[in-house]
Amino acid sequence: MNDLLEVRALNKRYPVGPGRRALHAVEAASFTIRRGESLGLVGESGSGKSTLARILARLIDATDGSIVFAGEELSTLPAARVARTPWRARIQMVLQDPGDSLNPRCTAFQAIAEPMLRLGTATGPSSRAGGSVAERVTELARQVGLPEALLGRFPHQLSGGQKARVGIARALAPGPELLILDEPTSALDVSVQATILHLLDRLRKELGISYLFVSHDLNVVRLMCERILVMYLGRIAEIGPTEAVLDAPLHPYTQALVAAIPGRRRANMPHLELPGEPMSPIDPDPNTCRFHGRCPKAQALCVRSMPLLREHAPGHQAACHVS
Amino acid sequence: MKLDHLRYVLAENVLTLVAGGLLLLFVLAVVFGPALAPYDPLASDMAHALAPPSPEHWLGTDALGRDILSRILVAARLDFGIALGAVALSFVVGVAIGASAGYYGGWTDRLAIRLADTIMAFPLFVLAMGIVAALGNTVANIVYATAIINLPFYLRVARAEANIRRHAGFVEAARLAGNSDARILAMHIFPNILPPMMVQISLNLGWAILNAAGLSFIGLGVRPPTPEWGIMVAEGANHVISGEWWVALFPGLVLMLAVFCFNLLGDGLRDLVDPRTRT
Repeated sequence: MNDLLEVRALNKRYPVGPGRRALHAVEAASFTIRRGESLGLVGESGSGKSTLARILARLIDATDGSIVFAGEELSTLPAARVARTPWRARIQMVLQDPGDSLNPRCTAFQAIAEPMLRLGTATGPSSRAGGSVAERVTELARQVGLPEALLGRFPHQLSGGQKARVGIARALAPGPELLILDEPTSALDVSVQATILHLLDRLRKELGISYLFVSHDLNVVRLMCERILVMYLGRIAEIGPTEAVLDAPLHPYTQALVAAIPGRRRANMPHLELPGEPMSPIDPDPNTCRFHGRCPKAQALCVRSMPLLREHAPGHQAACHVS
Repeated sequence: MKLDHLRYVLAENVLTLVAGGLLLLFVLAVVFGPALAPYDPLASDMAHALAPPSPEHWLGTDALGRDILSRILVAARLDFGIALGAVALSFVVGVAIGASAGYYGGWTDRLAIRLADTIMAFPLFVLAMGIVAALGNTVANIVYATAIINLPFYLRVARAEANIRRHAGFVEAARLAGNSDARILAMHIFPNILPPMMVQISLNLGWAILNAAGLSFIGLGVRPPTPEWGIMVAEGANHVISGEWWVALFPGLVLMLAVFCFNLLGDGLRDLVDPRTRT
């Protein structure tokens, strides 16, 4: 198997309010990420994509379910203990806002060097030269296109794009096999976005690492990812190869998303209005499709039975009774 | 770079420069006070009791004929020592409890906040009086009492500042870099809550000096004949009506200048340690 990560029946519920009420942030998530692959994770705010990303980054614990990383079960290890294990170096994350994610009192050099110093990977297999931390930081800065002269600067002395490069270099520093990117360009100017995206694409091909690319921008995902996973209210709506999902979406929610891409409206893809509000994620009916109430194609069956992921074409699955 | 920045902050803020100059004078008095004093601060000279300011006694003498200038100079070490000790103690304890409470949340947080609320529920000076009265009239107890009544301020500022940073991206990044919670608190959160704490420290130093002098003034602090600004004001207060104004005025003035100096210093200090104003 060349699967790097296999997630099976992953659930995350947050207790809310009095009693046993729970917010179902992620429900029954099952999917895989192959080695060297970039998987796009799309969905609207509140769809659970950030929660899923944080569970996989081992920053928070799942309620139940299994995460198998490189053949080993990872979900049994509590997130609080991951920091002291070799796993921490193998799964890294690029955070959403490069401004907020750098300690204002640390220089770019310190930010990039810290994970190596803490995780002891400065002389690990990822460092070809096996040299000092300083050499490795310089090498990383060169890889992400950060001028060496800027390494001594504090975050407030760097531009948004430069901060993003520091964030990427820091995540790459321990030599991860899986890099989770949580909307890495959403806080950047459009002109900078494109250069950062190309940098990320190039780095993945050079280093052979896998990406989980969280985004709400389908154009970005089309550029960056080989496969797409669409989430709606904590459940996977559709998963498949990028072209198949974006050009021939099966799930009505994906169809609406694709139809809403600016400049991509075509004759064969009518604009879909989604009426109404998403249902509450707090204790939703386990037998009703999450999309019910907004779905333009809903049928009586959708209220009585939760649609499960079905394979419609090789590698292309959707959770919908109608499609 | 650090020195340039210091100069820049001082040039921007003349009042900080004034406060800095005042502080320097106080520091000189603290370090060299006994050496600078022209007379023995404890030696009474009944022949020259209650002498007004003159070339021999610049600030006059008190009821026992002791030189007021000498007593003020010598007292600086004690007053600043009490204030610094108390502020250091409440800073360390307050930041440790407050930052943990803000970072961990949950019951740690509730417990810390109740502790602060409990202390704040008392009129603070009365609480300090009670503590000193109960524990005994020693310098160490004045320090503890002043530290305890200052604690809630540090605790609350540290808690609030840590709380708004607990979900900051850089804290999450620190966790991804393999830091434990304790290390994140000490190495990533603490340096970032230091600037707002500096202002608090400076304001509190002035307040702590006033508090220590206040305790001595009402007879619960340092005991006579030890030179201490609060006692000196208390001793001089009896003589104001009869016209010997210098006995109470000069120690009172010094006390006021010390508080004034620390209050002004607060803003300058914040500019100095906040990297966002670094050029």
